Order: sequence, then structure tokens, then C-alpha cells
Amino acid sequence: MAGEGEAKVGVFVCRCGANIGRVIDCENLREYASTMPGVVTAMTHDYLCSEDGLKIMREEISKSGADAIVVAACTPRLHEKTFRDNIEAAGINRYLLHVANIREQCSWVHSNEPYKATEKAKDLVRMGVRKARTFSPVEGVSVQLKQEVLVVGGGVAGIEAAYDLAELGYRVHLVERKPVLGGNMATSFTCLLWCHEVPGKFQTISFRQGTFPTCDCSGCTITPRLVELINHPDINILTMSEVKEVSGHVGDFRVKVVQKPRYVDEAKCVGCGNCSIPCPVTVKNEYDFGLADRKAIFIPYQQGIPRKYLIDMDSCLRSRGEECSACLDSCPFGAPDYADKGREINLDVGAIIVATGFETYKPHVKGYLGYKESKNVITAVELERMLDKAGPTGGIVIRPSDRRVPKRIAFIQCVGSRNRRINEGYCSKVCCMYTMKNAQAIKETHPEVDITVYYIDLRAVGKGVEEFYHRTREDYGVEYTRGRPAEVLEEKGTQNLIIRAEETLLNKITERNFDLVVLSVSLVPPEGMKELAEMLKLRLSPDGFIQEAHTRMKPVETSIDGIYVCGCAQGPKDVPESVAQAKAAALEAAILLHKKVWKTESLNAYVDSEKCIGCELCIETCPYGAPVLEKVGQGNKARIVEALCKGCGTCVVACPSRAIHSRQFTDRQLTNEIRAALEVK
Amino acid sequence: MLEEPPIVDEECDRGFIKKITEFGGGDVQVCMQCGNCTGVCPVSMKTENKVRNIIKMCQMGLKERVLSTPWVCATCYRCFEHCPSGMNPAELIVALRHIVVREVGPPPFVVETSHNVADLGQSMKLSANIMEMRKEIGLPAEPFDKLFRDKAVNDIRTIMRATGFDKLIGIKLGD
Amino acid sequence: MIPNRYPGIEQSIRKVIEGLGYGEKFADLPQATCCPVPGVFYSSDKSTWLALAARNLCLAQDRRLEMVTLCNGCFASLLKATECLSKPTTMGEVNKVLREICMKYTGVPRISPEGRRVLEPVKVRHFIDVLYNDVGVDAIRSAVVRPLGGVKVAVHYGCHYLRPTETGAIEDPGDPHMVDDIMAALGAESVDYQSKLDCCGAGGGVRSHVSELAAAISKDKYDHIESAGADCIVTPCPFCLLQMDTVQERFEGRKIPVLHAAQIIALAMGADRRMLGLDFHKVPVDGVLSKTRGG
Repeated sequence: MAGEGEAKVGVFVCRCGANIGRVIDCENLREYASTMPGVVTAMTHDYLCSEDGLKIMREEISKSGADAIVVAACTPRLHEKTFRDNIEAAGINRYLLHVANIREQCSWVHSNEPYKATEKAKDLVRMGVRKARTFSPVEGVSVQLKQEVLVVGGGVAGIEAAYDLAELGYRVHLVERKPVLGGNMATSFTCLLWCHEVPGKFQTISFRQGTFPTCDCSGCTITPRLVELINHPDINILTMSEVKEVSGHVGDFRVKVVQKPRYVDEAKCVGCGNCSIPCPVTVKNEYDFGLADRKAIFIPYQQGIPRKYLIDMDSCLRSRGEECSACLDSCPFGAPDYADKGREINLDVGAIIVATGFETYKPHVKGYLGYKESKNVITAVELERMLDKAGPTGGIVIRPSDRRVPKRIAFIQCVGSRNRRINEGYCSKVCCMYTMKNAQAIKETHPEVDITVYYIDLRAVGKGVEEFYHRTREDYGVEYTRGRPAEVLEEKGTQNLIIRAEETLLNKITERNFDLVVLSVSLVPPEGMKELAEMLKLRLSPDGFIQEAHTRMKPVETSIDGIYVCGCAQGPKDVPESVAQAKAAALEAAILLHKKVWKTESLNAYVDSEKCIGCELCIETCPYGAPVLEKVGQGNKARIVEALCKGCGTCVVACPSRAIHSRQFTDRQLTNEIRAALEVK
Repeated sequence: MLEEPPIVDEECDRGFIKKITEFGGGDVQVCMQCGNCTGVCPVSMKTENKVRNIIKMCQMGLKERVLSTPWVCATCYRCFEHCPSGMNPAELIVALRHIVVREVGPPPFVVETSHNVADLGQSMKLSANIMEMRKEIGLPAEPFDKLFRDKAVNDIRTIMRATGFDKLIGIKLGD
Repeated sequence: MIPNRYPGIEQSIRKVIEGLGYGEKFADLPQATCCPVPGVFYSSDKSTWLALAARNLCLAQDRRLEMVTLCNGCFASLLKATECLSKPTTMGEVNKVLREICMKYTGVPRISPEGRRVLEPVKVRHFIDVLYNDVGVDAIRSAVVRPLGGVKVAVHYGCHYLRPTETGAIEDPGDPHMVDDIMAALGAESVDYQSKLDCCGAGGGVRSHVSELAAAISKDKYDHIESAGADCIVTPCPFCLLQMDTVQERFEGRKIPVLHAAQIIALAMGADRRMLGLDFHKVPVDGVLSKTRGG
């Protein structure tokens, strides 16, 4: 009887076609297995994982009365679940299965020594049988799944995911750090849309008319969705908020969100702007990169949603002790709220979607490409702000030094990317393309401006992008030259710039004059990414973005059950891809939650609380945060939260009192296996 | 103007890259040919020899072409400071120099300076003018005494013999 | 280079060390030879270069001394040598050669903070680093008896002072200031000029092999220094000094005297100019000296 060291073991040897069968004498192996004590049946099959193989296995189990199974086949990573499902269907507890890997660990690596390989396979099966005899049934843990989702990040990915989930009927909490939604797409980056032109024909695009789906302003693209979001009854929008603490597990994540004080009552504010007129404080608007001013009570930019004002308390006179109430006095609804202290919000959700987006690289090294030293060297983000027709310069490109329209503009690509001196050297994917779009946009407003783009390699992938590139060069006359600029020098007086570079295709070093230089900066992980990843126990890729569970097959899942990632949080990408991933993540979360109950698949660990001394070493060592400390009587004892435990065994080893045991990997079972391995046949 | 004939496979020495690595020149395949090194190189700015071009020729294995240029590098290391791929073109040039010395021969100033070090322990000879100057400013006419010449110079010569430097450069060390 | 070409630098640094009261802290290494010059040895045979450098390092090691250099080239050569020697296999190979001269490079034994006996590589330092960090700018300022009276100095740091940063450069290669600060302490004004951090053109064998090229590279620096109105050029490297001093005869225009940093510091500390060998520079130094009080 299984569980008392007396299980009746059934051994199934798979030939895996020629993969195993060509090297290991499976019939010999089967015969050997059948002679072992406790084995009630042994059989071989060509493809155990096939429908036929599985059926025969079930029939054999029922015929022989086996109640613990050893499968000698390929790696458990491939088919452990298949066989577990199968024996469960045959009426045996699904965890009473041991897979002996006689393919990857035997026939594949010893393919030129078939005799020895067969002997090794016999050892492996013997070990498995000895272990299987001491198996006891394990019940997987079921977790109730809360039907609410947290979306971290209110950029284009976050809002798409939130919207789709809300439409499916889930309650969604959307947490956004900034005062407005829309992320980078809405604030500074105009969106990337491709022109599907008739090949060879020159198309005129007009921003005002927006006749074709080309280079539309981002506000127009994202605003309709944002309005739907604001009005959706199932979406709880928390702006100026950040996730501070996360505990729990899939189906039951306890999240603490801290909302910073807005000093304006959102419920009362209608966004009329009466308050900002009498405000006596004027400062540079950081959302416009200092290109325009704002008051202490302000909205970040005109198209911002939610259209609610906020007070920058650091600049406000009240923070200096003055009793100014100009904004409150002029507000018809009495919205300004000086006593606002912000708040803590506790959420309990079933799944989390991370859509925290990106920030852009800030070139800060002194002298490098002249940024910060030369006024007329700006980043692409600042340029985009200028190109926004509703922005600080009304869509006109100007030189910051004298606010005149430049005559010659240079773009420098790969700033912050493909540079192993500063990070992993990844390519930021979208910069080549956004430069083409920016160049076209500049030429639309200022056709007489000369534009030169300094690149190393051009990446123009995706639907319609190669055509877009050709338009940029042919129709708009933008010059492309290959060479990474070595120096950007400033001319005294004019504050013009001289770029010295080797133009590699000319094999000559050139020094060329420009009025304005734009650095095409890369996309980097946003501030706080490391901390958030730690909170959620997510892995980061070498480039600093969140690592997905599987690069090809699981692009929006993470290593933690119930947590998904989408958009630029996973790596640089453009808007269409971010939207696609957002919808995928929403679907994954929905697939999880709609089942209402989730069963763990891992054989997890458990604590023998009599032996536990509450030393907390298991809590320190566990990478998944599964052990928790609980007060039991006078002292503290550890308990493993099964939903979080992955069965890795780290705590088992760490425990100095040997109080933690791993199911199906107990000391006794492992010792039996070892003894079996060392036996002389 | 007559164009040179096209470069053909026979000119490409596939083992050149490995040889460069053996002499400490690093992995030339790392270079993405961005041209930043050339833009900051003081020598590239004044001559036809562009660093990036040299690296490209090394990548292709055009050994004969490359070996006519390598001495002209001031080892100022600006290339290394700016390279986004983490390459060190100056070290590459040093490796090329090792190859030139072994396959073509050392340039005259290397031979001369090596002789000076082997004979005097210093890179420059001591002229009569300098000896006068030394006396005028209160130093002994000769900077090094017999003890130095006997011990230090002897040490240097022993080292050069032990490493085979004398044969490499063609210095007669005698005994 | 210093004993056989610019012995004045030796006298200068002796004067400076004595004048600052650091005489006890410094010792001569009479057996030290050419570092060896990197443009020749490092470029032709690294194992010979390393063995010769290790020999010099052993001299300092055996007396438990830090090695202080007065030359960027020596600094780069010896520092790189300590870096190579920190690999045990390399150290082993070099020691096989050093065995022939009865020397062995091990590193300097020290007691670590945990109380263990460890071997640290020989410390190689540039004299500017020692003056700035160990002596201090204030101490230098107090020792000045002949302030330089607002003399405009164009500081040329030189390549191997600034780069490569991986081997442990002395300060930020994009924004160095130690020599400028010392000049200010002497009462001089350090002028900014466009190619301040550029190469003089001499190093790496360029001067010896293709002197016209070295001259062309120097010319850019010279032009910028000249238009910045500098009265003199100060550099912490004798080779840069040699280059900038001797190249000017090829150029039209104002001749600008070139001094080693040790020389100008000694001057400000009251040394007799005749002792510093300044009269033997190619470009006459009188113009600068008359600007200082005392002359």
C-alpha cells in the first residue's frame, strides 16, 4: 500500500523511438525492473507520451493494481505533467510518480557506450523504484482567486490591459505614479504610426487635417481610450500613487499603495483652471523641460487626463508659512485642499500586471556630446515636446539659446544604447524609427531646415517602416551619414555646434556646423524598477528590464505565478507592440482568474513545528518568500505558504534543526535512492 | 586614376585574428565599426591611416596591408575611452607592433633605444652638453656610478638574454 | 629621460620635497633604470618590458617603498606592470626571468585590517597625486616665497596622466584639476584652452618614428594655447616637455616657454633658477621669470 513503504510499483520504460531505444536495451531493462522487489508490472512502449502510450499505461495500471509509478523516459521537465495527469486519470494520486531520466541523462550522453548506458539505466530505474516504494499521497493546494486585478503603470500598455480586463468584468485598480495617465506616449513622445502609402508616390501629410493614419499626434490617439477608462465603472484609477509593499501569493496579493497628496480634491475639481490665474508663483514646467512656465497650482499639460489640477507644494508659498489662498478663493467648487496628507490604500487582488514603461537615458557625463554644457544640444524628448502642437512652443522647433528656428539640425543616434561602457550595451529598438518620424515632423513645419542623421547601424523593422525610412530620405531630403560622433564642440558667441566624426562611408573625418543637435536617447528602465522587482520577487534581464518567463513562448508571464508584464517594462518597444502585449497580459490574467480556483503543481515543503526553533533562516534563504513566521504559543514558528513554495529545497537544507521536509524528497527517500545507487547488482 | 584591383580571398589570412589575440590585442570581432575611435584619434586626424580602417582590415585578415601602418599610434588611449564596444584599439596596435617586429623587423628607433638601455640603463645617451649642464646645476657629471653600471646594466642584459630580446631586436650583448 | 636630458627636474623635485619638509619621507632608488620606455619595450616585446619593469618594482618592494614617478610615461608603464603582475601566472613567469638576477617580485607584505598577512602590489604613484593628496595644496601654498604674480599658465596634463581610466587614472579624465589647483596655489592663473586634454603627439614612438606627425599634432595644441594668451606651458611629463619645447622652432609666432610642473613649483618655492636647469630649455624661460617677483 502506498505510504507505508509497501507500494506496488509499476515500471514503464519508453523507447522514445530511437532516442532511447537505439542505445539502451529496453527489453533488458524492463526484465531487470520486473525482478525488483515491490514491482508488480514492467512494460516498454515506443512513445509513452502519445495517446496510445498513455492509454496502454492506464490499462496496465488498472490490470496490475500498481499504486506508485516509475516512468523511465525523457526529462521530467518535458512530460512530468503529462504522466501525472495520466496516472490521476487512472485513479492514482498524481504525485505518486517518479520519472527516471534515461534519455538526456543516459542515452543521449552515452550514445557510444550502449552496454554501459544500459547498466546506468538499470541503476536509475532501481533508484526510482526504491524511492517510489516509500511514496505517500500528496494533495496539491488549492487557492481561491480574488477576482480583482492590479495594474501598475498608467501608460498605453497599462490602460489597454486595464480596459480589456474591465470589459471582461474584473475589477481593476490602475496605479499610476504621475498626476496624469498616458505615460510617455501622452506626455512627450508623439506616437509612431506608419504611413501605408502607395509605393513610389509622394504623400502629403498634414497634422491638422490628419487625413491619413500617419504621424497623428499622440494625444488624438490615446485620448479616446483614456476617456473610456475614466468613465468605466469597474476601473479604480489611482494617480500620484505608488506600490509600496506586496505580500501574499497568486489569487491573494496584499498590496499597499501610497497616494501622494494632490492638495486638490479630485472629486470637486473640474479642471477649469480658474485657480492658476491668480497664483503668484511661477516656475519652469518640468513636464515641458523648462521650455515653458507653470504656476504652483497647475496641470502638467493641456491634454492630460484626468484633468485635475494639483499643487506643487515645494514651490507654493504656503510651504514657506505664508497664508496665501489665492487658488482656493478663486475656485468655484472649493477644490484646493491644503490639508491633504495623501493616503494609504490597501488592495487585495488576484493578479498583478506590471506595465511600468520606461524613462529615457540622461546623458550626464561632462563633456560627452556636449549635453548640459551646450544649450543647443537637446534630447529627443525635449524635441518632441516642442513638436507637440499643444505644447510649450506650439509645434515650432527652436534653439534654446536664442529661441530662433535652427537652419541645420543634426541627430545623433545610439545615445545611451549599444554602449558597453555604461550598461549591457543593448539596442533600444525604437530610436532609429522615432528619429525618422521626428525628422519628418520637423520638415513638415520647417521645410527649409537641413537635417543630418549620424548613425552606426539603422534598424527599421516592422510593417511599413522600411518605406517610412525611404520617405524620410527621398521625399523629405534628410541626410543620413554613418559614423559615431567623436566630439560636439560649441562655438563661442553663436553657440552653434561643430560635430567632429569619422564619416566611415567616406573614410574621412569631417567637422560640420549645426545650429541644433538632437541626441536620440535610448529607453532605460524607469526609476524604482529594481525596488519594484524586489517587492514582487521578479527577475530582471541583464538590460535592467523585467525578465519574462520564456523569451519565445511566454512573453508576458513572469517567474511568479499571477504576475504578468507588458509594454516597455519588459524591454524597449514601440506602441503597437506594447498594445499587443498589454492585451496578451490581460488575457493571461483573465485565463487565470476565470477559473476561480488555482491548484499548485509543485511538490512543496512543510515545517515540523515541533522541531522548529523560529530562527528564521528559512525566511532569509527562500527566494520566493514562502516561509512566514507565526506566533505559536510563547514563541514563533515558521510555516510554509504552499501557494508560494516551488519545492526548490533551499529551506530544507538551510534549516539547522532539520525541521523542514520536502514532499517526495524526504531524507529517508533520498537515502534509499542513494543506497540503491551504490548497490552492487 | 587607376583603381587598385579588387581584394580577393587569397589576401585574407584567416589566422590573423587569432594571432592578434595571442599578442594581447583583444578580440577584433567586437568592433562594430562605428568610427568613434577615428574621430578622437590625433594620428587619424592628421594622416590617411584611420584606426577604424585598420581594425576592419584586421577583421578581414588583410595582414600585409595592415603591417605597413602600426607604428603610427601615440598610445594616447582616447580611442579606448570612447569605444562603445569596449575595444581597445591602442592595445590592438601594440599587438600589431609585436607582429611587425617579429615578421618584418624593428624600426631604427627601437633598435637604438634598446641599445641605449642595454648599454647605459637609460633610454637616451648622455651627451657632453648634458654632462656640462649637470655640473653647472650642482649634480655629478655622470648620473650613475660604476656600481650602477656594473650591477644594474648587468641585470638588464641578463634579462634581455633570458627573454630572447637581444635576438629579437638584434642587439649584440656579448658578455 | 630626466638624468640624461632634463636633470633640472631632479633638482627641482629635491628642492620641492625639502622645502615642504618631506625629506624624510622620500628615498632615492639608485639602482633604478629606465622604466622601461613603453613606446619601445611595451610595443615590441611585452615579456621583456614586464621583466624590466618588475625589476624596478622589486627595488621599491624590497625596501617597502611606494614608487613615485615624475613622468607620465613611467607612471603608465609601472602602473600597468603592477596590474599585469597581480595575475599569479604572469607573476610566476616573470619571476622565472628575475631569478637569473636573484630578484623576486612578490608584492609588499602588509597586515590587513583583519590581522592577516597579505601581499599587496607595489604602489605606483604620480608625484602630482602625492603632492595634492599627501602633502596638500594648502601646505604648498604656505611654502611659496615667490608667488607667480598672475602668470598665465596653460596646463598640459598629458595622455598617460589622464588615461586609460581602467588602470586607475589619477582623476576624472574629462575634468582634471589637480595641477590647475596647484598652479593656483602658486599664485598663477591656469587658462582654459580648447585642446587641453589632447595628446602632444610625442608618445608611442611617434616622435621618434615620424617627427613631422608629432609636430602636426603639437601644432593644434600650440595654436590654442597661443590664442588663449598663455605665458607658459606647464606639464607633469618630461616627454611632453621635450616635445612642446623643441617643436616650437618649426612654428611661426610667439614662442611659449615650457616647464615641468616640478620646476615651476620649485621656482615658486624660491629655488635659484640656475639650479633648475631652466636655462637649457630650447624656448627661453626669461619671459615667465620676469613676471614673478624676484625674477
